[in-house]
Amino acid sequence: MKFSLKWLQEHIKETIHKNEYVVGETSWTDIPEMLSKKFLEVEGFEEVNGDVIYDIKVLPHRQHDCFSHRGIAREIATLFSLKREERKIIRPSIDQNIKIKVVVEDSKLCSRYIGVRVDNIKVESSVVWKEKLESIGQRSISAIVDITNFVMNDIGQPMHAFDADKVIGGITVRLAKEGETMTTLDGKELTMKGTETVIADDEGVLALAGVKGGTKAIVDENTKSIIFESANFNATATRKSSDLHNIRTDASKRYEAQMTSEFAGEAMDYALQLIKEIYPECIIGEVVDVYPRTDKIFKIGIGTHEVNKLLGTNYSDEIIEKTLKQLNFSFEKIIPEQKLKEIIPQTLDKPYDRLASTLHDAPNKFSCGSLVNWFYKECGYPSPRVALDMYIYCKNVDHEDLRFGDFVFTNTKIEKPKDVMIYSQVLGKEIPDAPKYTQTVEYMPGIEFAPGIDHVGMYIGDGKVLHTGSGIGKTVIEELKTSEYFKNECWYGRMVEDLSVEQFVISVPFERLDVRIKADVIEEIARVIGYDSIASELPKLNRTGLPHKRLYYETKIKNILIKNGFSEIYTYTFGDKGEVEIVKGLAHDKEKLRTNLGDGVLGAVKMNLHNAPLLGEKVIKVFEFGNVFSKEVEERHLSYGFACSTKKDREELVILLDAVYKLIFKSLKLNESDYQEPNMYISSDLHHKETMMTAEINFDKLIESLPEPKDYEPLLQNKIDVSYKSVSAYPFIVRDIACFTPADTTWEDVLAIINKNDNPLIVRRSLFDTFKKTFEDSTIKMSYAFRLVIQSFEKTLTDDEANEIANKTYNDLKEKGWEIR
Amino acid sequence: MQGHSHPITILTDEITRIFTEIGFDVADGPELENEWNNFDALNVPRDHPSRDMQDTFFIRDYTNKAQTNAEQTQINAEGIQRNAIDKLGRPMSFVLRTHTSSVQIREMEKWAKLSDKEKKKNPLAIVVPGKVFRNEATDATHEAQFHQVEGLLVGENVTLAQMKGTLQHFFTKFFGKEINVRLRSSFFPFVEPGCEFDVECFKCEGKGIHEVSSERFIACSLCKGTGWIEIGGAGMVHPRVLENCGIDNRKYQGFAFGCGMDRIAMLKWGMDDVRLLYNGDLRVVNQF
Repeated sequence: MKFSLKWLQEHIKETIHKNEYVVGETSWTDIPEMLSKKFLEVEGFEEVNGDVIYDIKVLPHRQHDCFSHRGIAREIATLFSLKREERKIIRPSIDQNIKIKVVVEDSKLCSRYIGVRVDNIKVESSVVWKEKLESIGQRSISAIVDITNFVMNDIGQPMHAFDADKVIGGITVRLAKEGETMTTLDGKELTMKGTETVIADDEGVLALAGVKGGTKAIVDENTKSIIFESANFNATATRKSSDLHNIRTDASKRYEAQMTSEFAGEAMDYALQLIKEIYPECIIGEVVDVYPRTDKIFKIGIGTHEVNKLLGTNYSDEIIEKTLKQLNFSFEKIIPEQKLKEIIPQTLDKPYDRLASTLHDAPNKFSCGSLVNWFYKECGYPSPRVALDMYIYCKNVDHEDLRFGDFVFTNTKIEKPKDVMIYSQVLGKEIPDAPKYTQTVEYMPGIEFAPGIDHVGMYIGDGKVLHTGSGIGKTVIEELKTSEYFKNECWYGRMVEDLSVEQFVISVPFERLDVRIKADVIEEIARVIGYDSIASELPKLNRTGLPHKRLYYETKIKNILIKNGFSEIYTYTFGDKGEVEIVKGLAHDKEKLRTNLGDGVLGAVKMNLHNAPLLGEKVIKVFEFGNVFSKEVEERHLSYGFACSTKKDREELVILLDAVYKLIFKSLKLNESDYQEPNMYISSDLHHKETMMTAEINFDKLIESLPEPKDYEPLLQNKIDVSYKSVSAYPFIVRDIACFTPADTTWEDVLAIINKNDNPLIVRRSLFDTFKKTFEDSTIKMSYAFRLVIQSFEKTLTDDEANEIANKTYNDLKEKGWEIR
Repeated sequence: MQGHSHPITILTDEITRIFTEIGFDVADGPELENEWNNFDALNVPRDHPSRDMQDTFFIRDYTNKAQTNAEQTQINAEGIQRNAIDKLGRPMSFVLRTHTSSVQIREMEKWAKLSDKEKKKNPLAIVVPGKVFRNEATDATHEAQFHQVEGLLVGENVTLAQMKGTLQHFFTKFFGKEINVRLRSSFFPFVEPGCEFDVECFKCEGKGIHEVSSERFIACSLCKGTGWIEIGGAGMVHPRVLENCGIDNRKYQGFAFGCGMDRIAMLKWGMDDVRLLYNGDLRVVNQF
């Protein structure tokens, strides 16, 4: 995503130097490296018209706050210890008589919707935002549209403008009706499936929520009044709508990242301020804000020792404090016991609500779980929300050891509604079953606790418990002994061992939805201080590790096969034959998983046989270890085979296959009962007199009875330091050259002459035949036959080109006085 | 004449020797994996883009008896059959594993069953070299099947500093010279903190340049003048991942790292086409 330095600068107080380098100050060239190390990768940057455009890859964990110049600028400010420049946004005066009607049918689909009517405007082009928008590759359209685009790229909040006169009645955010239609602003006809969220007026669909506006209330040159929309649509629903209709927009990708609803408010005020600046005569109506459950500041506690424990560092309290300030995370340092005592009065007499949320409803109403959950959350300790899960999560203590702040659990066995919704709503995630009270659903789901737990309270000392329940209707303090709620068997748990250890309780800014647990805070601290500050330390395990059984025996067998001239190959898992199928493979002939290795190995030996001259081999011997798949099981097999082109070779190799198997058997000390008849795969090409043959055994079965390894015997053939030569994609040409030489000439002498032709296209020179001949005149001569393999990396050579190269060698030999055969 | 080892086998052997020496076991797992082990347990949300069919090979109608429950078969909009049940009671499907991290889950689940005493005595230390699959178009640097190696250490006092030390140790041994490791902030759902790691360029020894003569320097072609080579991803195991495997994340913590073995092969040997590693071509293998 593209970001303009000029635009980023508007959010930073200090100057980021563009044309000069000032010692100790930030220069634009420092940004890519710093961001890439401590934040997100800068994929590129370029200077354009006196500005610098950075291309930054915003990863999923920061898309909810960094798809905007403000988000990136804040990050730059943090990393370079600069000050943020906050925009001064003041909502202009409004006319309360102008009011629109907004209905949000389900707040799960849209957590906030702000609509404002603005009258007396003109739709005309404007140059105010033209340069900025164009710098990041966006088009300037009209003042109204430019405002929405500018705000989106500035704050990260998508906005939309409707022509107010084309909106009939009120605005409703609702699920689409199946079959409803809409024409998008770019002319695409959509027919709704009924699963999409839409913005509609009393007549029909105005926009596909979060994705794209429609033509029904399109803003055009005749528009005199508009309705500005600034909303927060559900991330998953937006993604589904966007997938369903195959439309991806700058707005949809931001909603999919799930932003804070707080952005919507800031964005609307900013947009209204901007429209007032260019159209001072415009009349702004009332800000209609449907925001039933406001976002709340999330708190996380962390101790310096916890940071150091995870990172292996020695950071001081001071450096952590300084880093938190750099991050703009506000925090307090608390002693949990004091804090708990301090906030007890805030909970007393507050009403009971079974579905109370800790984040949204505390401390105004509570359920038994949200009550104790909130106490510890305020001290920075997260805990499960469901009583039974809390019990499993806590350290269990005995009744005699009870102290202030401990939890008291019981099973009241009071009849409760059995709907699935309870947990799903409370926990904000889908839970498949209705509450059972005997099995965890939230923390390590599925743990059984047969006696069951459905109630929890907090012990506050002196035999007293603080709790709430439907039967009492409010938060109370009672004697544990006499409380009606705790009359059945009780269990006790402790959240925090030592309530007197001071820790930071951090208030995470609204937009930082990625910071929710201790590890998230630790990451923030670590990356801002810098991973370079973390020393390397090798863990001392005081033991020697072991290979797994397959690897151990596989390496043993590989050593045997390699010693006997077999080379190892890897072939494809995919093919056109097999029992297990892929839903959508790479190609139609690659949609099945192999049931054997033999077919692949046969193909490979055949290919390699054709390359035999290039390889300098006469026969091809290979093996492969690999997994094969049937409907029932995945198994590891071994296949070993050959390819050759003479009868004599074939006879020898058939014997070798058998001998090698026996050798493997012997060296693994296998029993008779482990013997398997290998599966044979044979193919021959009579025309070329070629034979391809491979044997396959079930390796897993072969080693089944063998003991677990006690050490590792490494691979014998491990040429880690070879200098690798690329493989040419073009065919090679073979030229055989034979000559008679005097009897005392060695093959090395001949090779020396052949080597005189150092044309780089000769990729191999190999001796393939030698014999001694006594002529009629009883002179004895040697015959040497060499094979030249000629190949180019750039093209397919012609016969003529090959002949020319070979001729040079003929001439070299002739010059020596040797007779070419 | 002797035969030749496949380069990926040579890497596996190196990894095994270097890591077993410092106490890590080598682990293994199936290539055909269930969605829970490959995604959910690793904190990859159900609607995460990497779980699209464009990126992952989903298996059609898989009826491995050990893992499926035919009565619960569900078919979603994309035609993926989910005929097994995951740990949370949701229908799940099968995939060709997209990373060796699925083996982490299997090993952690086993380790979780040990007593606290045994856990403290025997931290879980494994490396997992293995074949993985991605549904992507192939070219010289991308294959639909390739190899990864994964490392995992879980125990009481495992730290990020130890992860850095472990990586540094491995690459120093592997390249046969002192190699520094650098961490850069990044994001993977299964680790927190999460980072990418680079190793010092072994060709120019981190200088980013080669001295042609006393007056002339050229940028190092391997690291493109940066002195560093991007290798893989790493971080501290996300508390939710530990929890998903039944490990108490308030008592135990761990690090994990992973990188492509094919990428290492390309860097180490200058291989220019990964596809040649998987078509049985001896023109490559015979060089080793």
